[in-house]
Amino acid sequence: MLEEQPSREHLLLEIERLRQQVKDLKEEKADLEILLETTAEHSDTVETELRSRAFEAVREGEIKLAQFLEAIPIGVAVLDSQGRPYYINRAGQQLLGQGVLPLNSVEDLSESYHIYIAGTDTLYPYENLPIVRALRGENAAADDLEIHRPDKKIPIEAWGTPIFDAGQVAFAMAVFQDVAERRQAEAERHKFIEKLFELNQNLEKSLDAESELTDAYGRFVPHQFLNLLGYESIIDVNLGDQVQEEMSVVFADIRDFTTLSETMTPQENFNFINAYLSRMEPAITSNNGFIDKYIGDAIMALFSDFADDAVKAGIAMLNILTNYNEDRQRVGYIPIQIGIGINSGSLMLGTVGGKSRMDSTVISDAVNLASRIEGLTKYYSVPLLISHQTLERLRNPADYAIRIVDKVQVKGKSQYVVVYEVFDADTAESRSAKLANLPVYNEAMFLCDRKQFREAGKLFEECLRTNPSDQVARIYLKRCRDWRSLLKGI
Amino acid sequence: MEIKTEDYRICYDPATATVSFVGSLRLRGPTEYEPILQLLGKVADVAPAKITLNLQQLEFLNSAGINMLSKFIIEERKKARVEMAVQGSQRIAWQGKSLKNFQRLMPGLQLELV
Repeated sequence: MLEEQPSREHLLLEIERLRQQVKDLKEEKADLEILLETTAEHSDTVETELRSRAFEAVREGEIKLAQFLEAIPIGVAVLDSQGRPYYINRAGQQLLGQGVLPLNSVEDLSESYHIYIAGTDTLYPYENLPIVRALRGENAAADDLEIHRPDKKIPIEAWGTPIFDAGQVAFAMAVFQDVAERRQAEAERHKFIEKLFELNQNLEKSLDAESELTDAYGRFVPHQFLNLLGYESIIDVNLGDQVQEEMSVVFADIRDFTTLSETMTPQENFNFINAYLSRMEPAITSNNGFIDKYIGDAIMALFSDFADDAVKAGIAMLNILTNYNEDRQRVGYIPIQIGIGINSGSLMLGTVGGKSRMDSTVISDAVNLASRIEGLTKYYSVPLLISHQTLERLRNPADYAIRIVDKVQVKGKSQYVVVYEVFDADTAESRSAKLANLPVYNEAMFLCDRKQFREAGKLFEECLRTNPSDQVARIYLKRCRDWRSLLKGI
Repeated sequence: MEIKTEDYRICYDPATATVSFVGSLRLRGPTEYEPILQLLGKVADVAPAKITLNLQQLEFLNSAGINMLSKFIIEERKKARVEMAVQGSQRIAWQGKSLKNFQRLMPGLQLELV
């Protein structure tokens, strides 16, 4: 009974319910359709927006890049993978005189852009162009290109680089610049260096000439003289230059030269003097001295500071003389005698004269004294006398054979100068005799100085007994006797 | 109430009953948008008569995002408890086009495009 068909109410309710359901579903469907449309539309809008932004970014990037490339002051050219010109920046267009050309083939590059081998009228082989080599994947460079424009030829240096994309060459880029300026700068630099070299050579020649001159002059004005004044070159010397130095002076003179020269012709005189002087010169120079001047047959030599050098030179001169005299006698000439006087002290060296005629000179009492001492050698018949000033400056007087000879008064002064004989150059006989007598001799001289002439005389007699050739002793003996007579006479 | 990340910020100002969206929303699907949907739901719960969605500083919204907002609007239409207003900006491209559809979903929705 209850399985009757649903009641009418139920059916109505059901229908109502279903109607509502349909309505709801319709609503939902409408909503979903709107949603779908909305989402789709939105998606498209957003996509469009994003796409245009992306394009803009790329374009901006490209524009910036192009600006950079355009700003580069060096030529930039790009070929695409087929070798067709793709891009040439402003600097490049200025150099080439043209821009991107629609070439059919990469072989036409050199011809179309007028690229030649520098210094020739031969087109540059296209396969050697750095940009073409870059197309093959090579980094290449060349500096022998030349662009022939209607009005000028531009030397070019170029570098080619491949641009890869996924392993393949996508583009070939070349960078190139005008090297005319640089070449010119190089050429100028070369010229400059050559000029400098020439100047340098000229300078060397001048210096050589100056050196030669000074050398030649050295025979007239000794180098040492110049050096003492502080100069290297004769050219630098001025009038009035002077320097004060401690030196030793040697005067050497030929005895009775006037008499001797009268026996010779002028030519023979000249020859003789030169023979003599050139033999004496080494004795001076080998002992670090220099000859200041020749006065006829007389020699004046200077030694810087070392009295030993001067004395050694004097002894050397006497030894040379002995040999020279042997030579003379062998050919029948008479032997000559010389006297040497040596003094030491403070000398003034310098230049005197006028603008047109200058000479070097040495001024000093010491020089005059040396000359006087030399004069004494004749009186005492000994060849070599030195002053006490020289003796004091000897490093070790015991190295030499020395004995006192006299005390002289310097003109105009109250001082005495003691004069000594250096007899190293005596004959062996004479030297050993004098040395043996030395104690007696010194005693005698001492007594003489004390005016004990009688006792002094006796001792001098004793000296003469063993050494009759001792001229100094002989002179002093006579002196003692004379004094005694004089005193007796009073 | 606020959700804040590096990319976006969504916050509710009770004084003006306005939910402001700032930044860029590009979450990957309904699951990721769930927290925002929940925030919106809560706002609707506590809000007085009208709530405003301020999208003027929402620079970017992806499809899933517009989907989510649309669903919220449908929801509220069905519940019929609040009035809705949406503020947008003409200068943001998608807003000029897509926001109009919200009015189709909820006819009474006020749309302000400045």
